[in-house]
Amino acid sequence: MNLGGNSQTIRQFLWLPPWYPIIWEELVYWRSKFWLYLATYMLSPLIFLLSFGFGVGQRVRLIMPSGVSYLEFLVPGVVALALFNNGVTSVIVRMFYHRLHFYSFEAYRLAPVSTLSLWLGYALSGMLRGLLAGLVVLGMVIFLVPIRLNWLFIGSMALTSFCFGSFGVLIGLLLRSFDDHALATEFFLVPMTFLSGTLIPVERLPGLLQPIVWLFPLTPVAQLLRTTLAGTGFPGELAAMVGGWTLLFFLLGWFRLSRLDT
Amino acid sequence: MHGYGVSAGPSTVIRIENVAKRYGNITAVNGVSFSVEEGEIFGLLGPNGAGKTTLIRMLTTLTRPTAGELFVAGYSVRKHQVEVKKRIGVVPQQNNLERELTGRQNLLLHALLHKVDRAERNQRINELLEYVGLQDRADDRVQNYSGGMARRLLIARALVHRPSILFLDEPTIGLDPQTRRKIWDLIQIMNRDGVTVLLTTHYIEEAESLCHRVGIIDYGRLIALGTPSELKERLGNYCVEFLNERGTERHFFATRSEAQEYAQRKDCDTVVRRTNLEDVFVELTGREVRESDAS
Repeated sequence: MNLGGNSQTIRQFLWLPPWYPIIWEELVYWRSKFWLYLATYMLSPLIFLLSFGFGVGQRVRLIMPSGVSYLEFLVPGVVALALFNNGVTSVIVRMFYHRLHFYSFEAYRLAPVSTLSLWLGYALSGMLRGLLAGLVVLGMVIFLVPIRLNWLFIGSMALTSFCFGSFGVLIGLLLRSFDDHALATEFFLVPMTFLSGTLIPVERLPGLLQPIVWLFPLTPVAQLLRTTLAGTGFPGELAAMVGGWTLLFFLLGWFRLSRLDT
Repeated sequence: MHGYGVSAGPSTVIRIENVAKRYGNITAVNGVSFSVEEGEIFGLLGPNGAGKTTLIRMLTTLTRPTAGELFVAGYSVRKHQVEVKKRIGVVPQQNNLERELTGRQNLLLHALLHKVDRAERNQRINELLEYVGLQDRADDRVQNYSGGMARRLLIARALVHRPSILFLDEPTIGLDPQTRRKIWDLIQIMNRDGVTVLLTTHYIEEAESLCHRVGIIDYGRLIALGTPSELKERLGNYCVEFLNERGTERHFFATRSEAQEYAQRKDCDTVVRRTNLEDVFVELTGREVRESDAS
């Protein structure tokens, strides 16, 4: 057996996208933990639907700004949350452990792939995780709430999942310790979860908060999903906002990744 | 004293020119220059915190130098990172395998990252698993591997894409003597098959038995470079050792007769022996216990 050196060069698989191995690893985890993921992705949305939709929502009878029922309002919000929580968190956790705990991120940095491919691989793995969670929620609510899926809505889900995958990569690259992880969760992820028009309409928040929550990337996402699910046209402005966030996360993440010096 | 062997010939595969790395006020590597020839096993020997790992990380593109230039396989590490990465294999000091994947999956992931052709991939992985003696545990998750098994898998992973240059950072740290010897064998077989090896170690025996040439590094500076026998010869091939109130004293002589003559003049018990690389190392790096070791 020849172990290496110059006498024999290995043939290369040229058409394989350079980010594919990162996705492949993600799919290996999916295969080994599929039922766990499925149960996890169902739990939080189910709690939101039961407590807000069928519990508080039914009793309080919130006056919805557009005249829809609270449950109809809630479903796209819960889908947005599923995309957000799982897309962002899966990448953050993976990068946190791979970078700072197990150091396996270095194996990726040592591979002959560009920084862009590395970024894309992680962002796409977050996107896939978000989409899986979103589809699990849809599969669940379709039996509880009358909704009509359409391609604009599915396309919006794909766009927003990619946006959140990119967000996850950025946060994952910025973390330096477990305390940072806790800070990111408490100061960014939790406020966004509850204040971005996912569970409560932005118009029903205190007046002071209303303009501020539009600084969260989840706010245009919730509105985009709600509008496209209602089938009332394509809100280009909201899609552009989500695209803008994605571009910003990409630029910052790519810059951070290319400046890594450990 | 830090400009050894930078003249690059046609067979030079690693060239380091006046490289420095600073982290704020701390200088980890300070103006180091040397080169490694094709087919060598080159050892960087030094105490903990001497700058060995930083140097390897700079050579393997993970850390950017503050000053100086590094060339690997003829490519500038600063400018052509992807070309460098195609030609090198890296065995890090820490186990950076994917714990939740099996041994085989770890090798497959690496093969995918290096775009190893599908037709060759499985055969190559099976060969390497057999080579490092892990074929029976190939489908176990890495989190269930012992330290020695993980280390052998790290070596197999670094070889999947047939690199021409292999970097090993403290390859046998924390391993039992049997596993250590097995890894030494692996390194020598790799080298026989044409792989140039640069390893760091603070085990003197490892450097002495494996390396064709050794560079001794301390406080970020290269303080000596040569073959183990050249380094010993510079100090004196024979050592007279005796214990007095200040501790163990060692004196070095070019010939055994000079050493014996000196020993006979001492009015205490003495030992006359051949100088070893540890003597060179201690003489050059000093005897004080380093804080990182003492803590």
